Order: sequence, then C-alpha cells, then structure tokens
Amino acid sequence: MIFAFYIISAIILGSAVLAVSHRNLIYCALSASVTFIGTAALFFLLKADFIGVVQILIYVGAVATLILFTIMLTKDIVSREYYVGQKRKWSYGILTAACVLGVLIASIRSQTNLPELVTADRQVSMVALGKEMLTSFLLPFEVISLLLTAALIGGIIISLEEKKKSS
Amino acid sequence: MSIPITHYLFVSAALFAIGLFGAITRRNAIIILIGIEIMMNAANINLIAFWRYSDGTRLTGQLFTFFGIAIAAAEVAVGLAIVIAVYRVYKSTNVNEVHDMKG
Amino acid sequence: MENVDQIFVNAKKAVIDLIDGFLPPQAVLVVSILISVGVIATVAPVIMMYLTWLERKVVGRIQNRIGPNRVGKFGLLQPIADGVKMLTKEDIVPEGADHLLHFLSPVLVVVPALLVMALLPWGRNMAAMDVEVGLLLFFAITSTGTLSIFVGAWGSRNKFSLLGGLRAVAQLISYEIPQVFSAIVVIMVTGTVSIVKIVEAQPGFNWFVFTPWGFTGLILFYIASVAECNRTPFDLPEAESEIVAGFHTEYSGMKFALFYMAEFLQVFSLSALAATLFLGGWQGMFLPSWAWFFLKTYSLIFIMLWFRGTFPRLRVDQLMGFAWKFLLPMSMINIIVAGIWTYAPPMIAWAAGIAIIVISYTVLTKLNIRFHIDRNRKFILVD
Repeated sequence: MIFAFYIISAIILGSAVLAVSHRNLIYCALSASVTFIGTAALFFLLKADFIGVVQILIYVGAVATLILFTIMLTKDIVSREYYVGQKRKWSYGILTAACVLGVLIASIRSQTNLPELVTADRQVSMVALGKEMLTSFLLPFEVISLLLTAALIGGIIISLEEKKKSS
Repeated sequence: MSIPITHYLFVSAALFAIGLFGAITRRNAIIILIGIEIMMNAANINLIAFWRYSDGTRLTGQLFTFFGIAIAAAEVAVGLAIVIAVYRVYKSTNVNEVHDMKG
Repeated sequence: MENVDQIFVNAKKAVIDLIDGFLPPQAVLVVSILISVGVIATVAPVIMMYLTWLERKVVGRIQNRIGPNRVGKFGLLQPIADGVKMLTKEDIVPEGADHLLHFLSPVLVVVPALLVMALLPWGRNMAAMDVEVGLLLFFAITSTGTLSIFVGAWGSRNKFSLLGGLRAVAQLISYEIPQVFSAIVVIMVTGTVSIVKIVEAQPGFNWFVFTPWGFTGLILFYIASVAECNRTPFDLPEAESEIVAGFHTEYSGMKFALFYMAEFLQVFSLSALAATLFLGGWQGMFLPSWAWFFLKTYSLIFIMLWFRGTFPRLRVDQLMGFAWKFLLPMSMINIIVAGIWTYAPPMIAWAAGIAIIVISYTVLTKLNIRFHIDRNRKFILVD
C-alpha cells in the first residue's frame, strides 16, 4: 500500500511537469490525461471511490477530449513560442512557482495538530452521498445545474460560426 | 504504518506549483488552461486527503470536490470555446499576440 | 447442482488453499488477484477469436453462403490462421507519422476493453472486482476509449484518418449519453450502483426486461451499445467502403489485430453488461449460473451480428440526429416511467408506463420523420 502512494505521486508529478513544459501540444494534452488518471488513482487510494470515478469520467473522458479537439482545430501544433531567446524567460516562472511552493511547504510544516488516520476502513455508500447532496447541499446542487446550463449555452454561442450575410 | 497526511499535502502543493508554473510561463492559451486544470486537481487532492483523515461523520470533503470537478469542467469548456473564437479572428493561440480590443 | 455452479470458485479456492501455507498473506492476496486476472486475460482473446469466426459464419449464412469452412472442420481453426497472418505481416509506419503515438494507440485502445472484463459478474460469486461503484467505473473506463481513438487518428499523419477519427470520437461521445441514461433507470430502481447487487436484485425469472421501463431501457441501451462499438449500422468511421478504412488505415499487422480485438472485446463486454443489467445476468434455473451468463450474452451478440448482415449504414448526420433527437429524449422519458413505476400501485404503474412510452415513441418518430419527408418532396417537385 505504501509503495502505491509513492509510485502514483511520482507518476502524477512527472506527467504534470511534462504537461506544462513540452514543446508538442499533443504530448502536453496526453501527459495531462496521465496526470488526471494518476489523481483518480490517488482518490481510490484515499477510499473516495465515487470521486475517483467521477474524476475519470469527467476529466479524462470529457476535458481531455475537449482539449485535444481544440488543439486540432487551432492547428498550432509546435507552439510558436520556442523561438530563439525566449526560453530564458522561464526562470521567472520557475522562481515564482518555487516561492509559492516554499510558502505552502512552510505552512504545512508549521501545523502541529494535523489529524491522524483514525479508521483504516471506511466506505461511504452512494445512497448516503445522494441523500447528503439533496438535503444539506441542495443549494450548491441547483446552482451547479444552472452553471452547467449556462456553460453549455455559452460555449455553443461563443464558438458558433457567424453566418455570412448574403442576399 | 500508514502514510501521514503531510505527504498528501506535499504532493498537492507540488502539483499546484507545477500548474502555476505552466499557467504563468507558457504563452499558448491551451497550455494555460491545462495548467489551471492541474491546479484544480491539486486542490481536490487536498480536500479528499483531509476528508479521509478526519472522522467520517461529514461528507463535506467529497461533495465539495464533486462540485469543484463540475465547475472546472464547465470552465474549461467555456475557456476552450473562447480560445476557438479568438483563433478565428487572430489566427493564433499565442496570448501575446491578442492585444487589440476590437475584434 | 451447486457444485457445477461454483466449479470455478471452488477450483480457485483449492489453489489458494494449496499455497496458503507457504507464503505470507500479502503474497497470497497478490496470487489470488493474479489468478483471476490471468484467467480473464486468457479467456478474453479466445472469446474474441471465436467471435470473429461466429461473425463470419453468421453473416455468411445471412448472405446465403457458407462462411469459412476450409481450415479445420466448420472453419473452426480459421481464427488461428487469421492470427498467424496478422502476426507475420510487415509493420508499416508512415514516414511522417509520430512513432510514439503510432505505437501507443493500439495498446491504449485495447486496455479499456480488456479492463472492464474484470467488472462483469461471470456467474454467482464470480466477479473479479466487486467494487461498490462498479457500474460507474465501467462507464468511466469505456469513456477513456475515445481518447485512444483520437490518438490513433492523429498519430498516422493522414488527413483521411484524422477525419475518420474525429467522426468516430463524435459518434462515441454522442452515444455515451443515451447509454448512461438507459443504465440510470436500473440504478434508480435497485438503489445501488454495484453490478453484483444489480444482478442479485433480479431473482429467478423476474428480470428487469419484463417491465415497461426495462424493455425500453434494454432496447435503448442495446442500440447505444451497438453505436459505441462502431458496428453496422453505425460503423461509418471504420467501414470498408468508406474513407479508406477510417482511423485505422495506416496500421498493419499486429497493430490492426489489436484494434480489431478491442472492437470485438467491446462487443462482448457491452452485450454482457446489457444482459447483466436488464436480462438478469447469471440468474435463471436448471443451468449453472455461468452457462446462463454466456447464453444471454451470446444471444445479444447474435442480434448484433444479425444487424450487421441486415441493415445498411447510416449517414453521419442521420447518426447524430438519431442520438440527439430520438435516443436522448426517449431515455429521459424512460427515467420518468421508472420513477412512476417505483411509487405507483402496480395496475396504474403498468398502464401509465406503457401509455407514456407508446405516446412518446410515436410523437418522437413523427417529429423526426417530418424533415425527411419534406426533403424528398422538394426533390420530386424540382424534377
């Protein structure tokens, strides 16, 4: 069990680095899919089965497909930023990310009363999740449905081709 | 001999930093969106880790993550629609080249 | 009868007891998992090979000819000959193609098709993975197959392959929605997402197909599954008379064999899932449970092969229109019918269910046919 966590973490971090730094856009999108699958594996390890399944369904099944479709439609495969002299600007980005990482790690280490692992085996039934979602979390549920409808309509309208006005 | 929660939090923080690096440095709009998605994944790992290491009375962690995944999916859909619409006008997905207001 | 029913479970238990004394508990767990996985990984290619034989025989008979009958008695060794042919073919990679993507794509297509076989209950107590979210995991894993097809289409650096791949991905994501909605009906009525418990909720012979929502659900799920497997009448992306051969044009030899294998494995697993959800899985009398499972699955597979020999192919706009304008509203109405079924007394539930389904079917077909009639009339007037 312990090895599983370290292997999955290595896969997640390695593919995330590849996803944001590779020159070829398709490889970036596919490495991002590997990151999403690794995150889902981590959710299964943390005994959140339902969320792991939702992660695979939505991120790998829909978001990654959307990203690949957009890459294909915009035809900019070898990203045009790799001209001479532009690579050194990455040092600013690395510096910022390292500062943020340092702040996060320092704040994690300074916590004294983080919880320990209480129960070794906990399974949440989907019936309980559904009931909770429709009683305590009813307002976010309705708002999410409105949001998804708005995203659906907005996405279609934004990417609709303008009809040529001909007489 | 189980994994302390700090390991999960370190992984989440590192993933967040990598996503941040991608969103800041790259100039292709699609890779920026990928960076944003990676950052959201990091936040979800954090939420589920805290849910797991707490007592199991509340399901807030899981449901929060569920709504977060839904929001991220909606956002990436609209974001990619905008990228396609901008590409039609400027013929480029490089965010440095999109600098006029009139389309 | 109990012995024959549990023969595989008892065999595995005997092997585990044999090695239990020698190894620590974690190793015994790993060996137990390896036995299940090994059996499935051995059985799946054999199923796929004899499914190709069955297809050629059945389609041949429908077309009034005998299928393969030269290699072995009744052509039973034909799949082995096919396998040898595909293994010894030259592996051609186009010059400008992306070597990594070209190599990975057949593998990525086969992995989900093989992975979901561990979730199916092959008999009583014979599901290799008894996860609580089994059905959702099945749909999640099959939805990652769309990504692999896109990778394959892109990796061959051929505009026609790319077009075929885009059409295939559009078809797959369009038909996922009616497929999942038809399965939601079963989840609603049984209250659980685990496939093993869904089968146990259909004891004896009262399967879900004998209810109005179950019957409609089976037909909708089955049609959506036929489209998910890229079979005729929905095989526009990969048909032989279409754009060269769709997205797997540039793959030869073993890579093509892997694509082919993935398609047939998907045929088997989706038919098995339809049999499990609606036809009662391994439930039945007089025969052992795994025999019922294979009987039901192979009847549904036979219907799929029958479709191949009978129906012409749909055009791409007809394909998309069918999914979004007919199957999706029909499956939503099916959910309402199942809701009424759960909460109304039996007489009202049956009457209301059948009435709503018949009315909505006629309304939807009338709404959808009107456009075709208008188009035809326009042509006749112009003539």
